[in-house]
Amino acid sequence: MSPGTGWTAGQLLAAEQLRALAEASDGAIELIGGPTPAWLGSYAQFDVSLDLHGLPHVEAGIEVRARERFLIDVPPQFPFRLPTVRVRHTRWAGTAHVQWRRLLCLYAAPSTRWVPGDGMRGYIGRLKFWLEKAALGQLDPDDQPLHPPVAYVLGGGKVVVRPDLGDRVPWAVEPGLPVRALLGLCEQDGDRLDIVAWMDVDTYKRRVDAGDPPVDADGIPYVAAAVVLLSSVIAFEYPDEARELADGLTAAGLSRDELLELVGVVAHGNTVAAGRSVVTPGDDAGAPAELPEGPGGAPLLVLVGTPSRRVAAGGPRLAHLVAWRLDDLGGKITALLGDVEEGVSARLDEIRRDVK
Amino acid sequence: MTPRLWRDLESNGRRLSDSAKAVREEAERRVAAVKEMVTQGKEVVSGDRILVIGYDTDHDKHTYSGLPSECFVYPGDVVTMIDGVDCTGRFEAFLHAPFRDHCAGERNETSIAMQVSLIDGSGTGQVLLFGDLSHDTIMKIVEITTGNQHADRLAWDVLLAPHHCSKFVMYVDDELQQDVLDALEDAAEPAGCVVSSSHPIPDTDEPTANPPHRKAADRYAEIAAFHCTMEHGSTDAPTPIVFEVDTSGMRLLEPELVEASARSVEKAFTAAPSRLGLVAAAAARYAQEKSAASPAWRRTRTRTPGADRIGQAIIRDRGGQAAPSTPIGFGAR
Repeated sequence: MSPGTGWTAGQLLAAEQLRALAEASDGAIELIGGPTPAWLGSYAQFDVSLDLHGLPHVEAGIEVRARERFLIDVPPQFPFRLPTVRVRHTRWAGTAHVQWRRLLCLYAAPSTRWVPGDGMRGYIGRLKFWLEKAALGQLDPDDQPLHPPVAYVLGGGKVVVRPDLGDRVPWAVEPGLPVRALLGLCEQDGDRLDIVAWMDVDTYKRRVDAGDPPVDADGIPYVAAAVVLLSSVIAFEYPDEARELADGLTAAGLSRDELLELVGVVAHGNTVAAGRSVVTPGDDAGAPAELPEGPGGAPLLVLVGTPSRRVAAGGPRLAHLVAWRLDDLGGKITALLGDVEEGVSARLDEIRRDVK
Repeated sequence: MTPRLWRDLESNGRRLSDSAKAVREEAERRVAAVKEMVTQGKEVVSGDRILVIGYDTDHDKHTYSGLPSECFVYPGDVVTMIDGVDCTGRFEAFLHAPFRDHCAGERNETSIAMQVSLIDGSGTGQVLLFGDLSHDTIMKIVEITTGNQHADRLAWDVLLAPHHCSKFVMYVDDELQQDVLDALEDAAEPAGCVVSSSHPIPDTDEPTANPPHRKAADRYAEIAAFHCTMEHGSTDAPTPIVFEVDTSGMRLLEPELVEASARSVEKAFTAAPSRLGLVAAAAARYAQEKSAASPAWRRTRTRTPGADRIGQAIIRDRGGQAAPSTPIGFGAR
């Protein structure tokens, strides 16, 4: 692909707009390279340097150097689809609105903010605005909706949350709690789970222990899902590995033992509810067989809730929920169990025996 | 000195500048002085010492060939002696270049390249000096050093912009060479500074202009803080760029600290005024006086902030403050 041959009219327009901007900028905007083939298939990459010296900065903001380089990837459909922008370095990784360590999220709502007619002028202007706010630590101002942590969908079924959490969220309590665990009661339809009610962990355990797991109006047992509500945010980008998730939850105030016990309660409850054992015959070598589903034939879910969107400045924050499905359950629970000593919890020991 | 000095000395038809001639004469004087002291079995004194850095295939043809072995060091060596004083634990210079292959090449590519480490207990300041080297030779240093598992010998708190901030460090035939920028950025300590020992950086680069080059300064500013010696403080009355090394590492000194530091340096060396101490005290005194002469040191930014310049460029190019409101594409009439 080369300029003038493989690029679309839109990408050539972007090139022309960037050149014009650079010429009008007296060095403040420099087009270092491009268009060149970008990492995203048919996108055109432009290497742009911006003069950012003198940008007001606070401790909580990102550190912006006197000049910064940006890689702007322009889609073939430009200007009807907006570009993406990356940085070469990882100095801003972990900052809100920086995804995959390098990708800057400039628009929370591109459908209303992106103006195709303004093209690269508007895009560079938006990038400048983002940098100004990021340097001042103002990307999430009090009177604006919060951007929830980013979760990359990797498959694993569907979860529909029907009831509100209401005042069950730990940040609704005074003084605020760092973390609260509870259970979601779900109706299962294949790989889809609909959460239809919330239940506190102790109530659920008592019901299961009494041989009376919660059921729906037709007497069908609910599938339980573990729910961890945090008053803080683990990270702007959520991990996709159980161990990293456990580490993040530990840092947020839920110990590894508490997480394991919560998962154990769910696994045990779902097994009891389904009326069958979690144990599946292993092979001759004694290795645990891979389970097609979680305990009780139901996906084992961990939902993490964090404070998110505000209705108004200073108002209560609503929760943003992200679900992890622990797919290769045997390996992951076994790995977790290996980190916890026996005797911490009778329920845990029971699960440990079942899994082993 | 590098062996190249003697090649230039003996090459026919090459015109040397007055300063180069002076350096050459001083080198020859020292070579003769050292040989004389060795002949007499006496110790070489300060002011007569000479160190020849690097290889030359014509080694035996030059006047320095009869010097004792301690007068020669080569790439890969570590120097800890300064003017006869063993500074182990406080100072060391790791030599990267010149390479043997370059001994008869382009003069700039025979520059001494070294990493200087200044040590104060647990704190170290590392300065990377590449002389007048350009892209290919710097990348050769990077490849050899990393290939030998000595990447730590490229680490820098301060990088002296090679060849007075020449664009030929990162541009070859006007094509940006990202490899050298990546290598330099990878080797930078978190608070690294690039210092350009040069005239003020021009607003734009003329096609055949000598360094400093704006393009080079801009590329450095993208990987570290950037300072130019003749712009520091102000272009009218620039003040010395002074770094301090203590047990927590290396940092750029604020000018108000320069005076205090200068006093302490003078005090430290007044008790035992060695030649080295006198040099340090003189440098400190100079820094102090220059700082005092520039009360408006605190930089009053005369340049429009970058974000404002970007905003102005957008407005100029667009022809107005607001984005166009006329629909384009499907639905436009």
